[in-house]
Amino acid sequence: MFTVSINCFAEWREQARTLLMRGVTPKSISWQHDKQSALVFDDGIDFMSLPVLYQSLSIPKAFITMAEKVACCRDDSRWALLYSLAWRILFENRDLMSIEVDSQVVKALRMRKAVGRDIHKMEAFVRFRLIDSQCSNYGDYFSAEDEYYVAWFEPDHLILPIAVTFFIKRFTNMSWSILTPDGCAHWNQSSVMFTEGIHKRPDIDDSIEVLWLTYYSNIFNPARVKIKAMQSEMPKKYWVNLPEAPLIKTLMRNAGHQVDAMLEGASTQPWHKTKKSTFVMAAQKKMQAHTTKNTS
Amino acid sequence: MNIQRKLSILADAAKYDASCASSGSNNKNSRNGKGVGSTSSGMGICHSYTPDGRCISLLKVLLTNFCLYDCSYCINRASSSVERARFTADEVVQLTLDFYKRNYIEGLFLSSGIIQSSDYTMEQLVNVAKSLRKDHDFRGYIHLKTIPDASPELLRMAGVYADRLSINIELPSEHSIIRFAPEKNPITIHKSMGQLKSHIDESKEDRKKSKKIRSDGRNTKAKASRFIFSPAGQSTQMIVGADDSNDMTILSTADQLYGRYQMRRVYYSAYSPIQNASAALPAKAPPLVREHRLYQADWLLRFYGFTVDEITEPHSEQNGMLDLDVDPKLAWAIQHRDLFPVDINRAPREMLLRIPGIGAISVQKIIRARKFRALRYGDLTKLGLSLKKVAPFVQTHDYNSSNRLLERADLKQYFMSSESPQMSLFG
Ligand code: SF4
Repeated sequence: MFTVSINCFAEWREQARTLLMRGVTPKSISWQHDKQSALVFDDGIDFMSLPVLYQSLSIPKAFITMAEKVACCRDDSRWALLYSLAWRILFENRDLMSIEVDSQVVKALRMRKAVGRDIHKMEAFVRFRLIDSQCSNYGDYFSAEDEYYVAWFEPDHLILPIAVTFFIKRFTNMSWSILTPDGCAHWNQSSVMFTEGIHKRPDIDDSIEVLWLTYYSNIFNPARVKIKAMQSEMPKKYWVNLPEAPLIKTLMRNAGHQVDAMLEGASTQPWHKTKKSTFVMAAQKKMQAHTTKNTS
Repeated sequence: MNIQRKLSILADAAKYDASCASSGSNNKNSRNGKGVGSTSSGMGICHSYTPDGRCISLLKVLLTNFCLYDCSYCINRASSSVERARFTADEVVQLTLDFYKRNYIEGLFLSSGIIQSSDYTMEQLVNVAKSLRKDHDFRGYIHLKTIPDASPELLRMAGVYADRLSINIELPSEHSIIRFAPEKNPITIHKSMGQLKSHIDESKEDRKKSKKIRSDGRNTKAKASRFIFSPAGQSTQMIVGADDSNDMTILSTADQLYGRYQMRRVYYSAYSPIQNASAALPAKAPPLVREHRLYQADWLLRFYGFTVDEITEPHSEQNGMLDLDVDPKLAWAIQHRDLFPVDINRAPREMLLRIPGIGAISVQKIIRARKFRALRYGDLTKLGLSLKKVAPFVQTHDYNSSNRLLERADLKQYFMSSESPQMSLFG
């Protein structure tokens, strides 16, 4: 039995390659992930000393792309699962990943989906707040002249390193930090830096937020309350970090009255002003025709 | 009036436009630029959801809710007593950037009441988009509502700055447009949609050509000369339940719009009570279930190979209306039981698409997987399908439904117990 310790996808990829080349079966590996990324050899055997059985192994690129996502899943079984799939792709069926009814494939695809959704939700629900650069805890990484934005987010999975590329592409010319319990990413308009996670949401006010709340309240249509539809897309777990979420209750409570007032309220007779507006239009057309004639 | 007050009035005025998409544009990002923003050819992002279940993807506002026209269904019509406001171009630009930088939105959806003249109004809208792009190098999403009788030059300019343009058809029949939107002209609406389409086509051609030039290795000035026009295409909206058009009319109109102008989307917007409504229109709760069924039917038209006639069964007792109790695909299947059960392992794609409870993505998965091994009934759950839904309609070598469920006279009831379309409207 070999025990292999893994911290990130790149490490897994490296180790998996070494193991696969030596034909080490999935069953004989125990995948660990503790902080020290040292290899522990049970039975006193260094697997590097095993003979290489397969010189060149080629894994479909699509699998690697998928594996990279699965690797972000906060699920301890992921490394073993990926290894087992890689093994089966190489030695059993190259098209394994197309068989989406195979239990292992199903499991991996579910994990990928969960990670994909988490990334998507992070792209959606991160909220930047503008603060003074002077307040940055990250020394001279940021220039004091630039506007500096900070966001706090709690992802379900270990997605920060992947998710950050979206923010870099979109907010290239802004300085910002995204803080999460698993790690923090900082962008100073030219390079990205990762630091240790923090465990408390920072306390920041942003004066624009009140406009956002105004917008949120007014774009809501009280005649169409569909709270379930909303919650399936924006589950409650995200609410703690969304500035607009505290409004939901009030908006819901007032919706009924608002609609009743609309339904029972005074209505206007049609065509009353229509005539007038058509009249105004006609008058304007005439005026315009007149001015263009005069200027030409 | 302060900006907050204006925002509340002009967002309130904009909420009856259902479109919120920020998808399907070209790929942009803010590298090598000065401003912020990115868009992609894929899915858009919904940055929040309001309790009406709708997504907030764009800052959706009117430039002004003053309007010379008197469209009966509209809260901004000249005869409504609603409070009026007007943003300056700079105010909208600043709001968009402020919201965007905080990751509240994907971009701007700007529309306006008609003031002074169509051209004047359109010019104001174009100016906002132009300022965002030129003065601030904004690379996020811009959707401009297009005033149908604005001049062709202005429509052309709008598409140069916007990711998407839309002209609302408003109501399903010409007759209704004339009746409820007396200042609007159905012919002009169609003409302008046609103009947008030809620009969009032209720009697609151009992109294809420049791609070809690039792949030929002759990367001369091709990029600079590219004509980009509304890369996310055009869309439109139809109000449902304000006039008495039936679903068949609505879907036929939609079908024509898709066919003629290659609309990316036709939005259906249940006529929703407004403050100080026109007495010409029904004062009642919005027909949300009907709206939902229309979206489902729309999907069947576009991705499942159904025709309008099949969906609305012109001769059935429904009178051209969709069944509110069950979704239109299921309704069709119940009417055509003789075509079922369908063999999951052998049926062609077109037939798999017709099975209630199986979506286009699942069909894809089935086709991929069955090349390698025969699928069993139990495998369907692994694909994420609900067995209760598909049970009557499918067949595998270890399962055959035909003599049980399919013959039940109360097949519809069997499904209605699992589906609850009567969504609660008021909490
Ligand atoms: S033109 Fe008609 S639909 Fe548009 S804002 Fe004016 S009244 Fe409303």
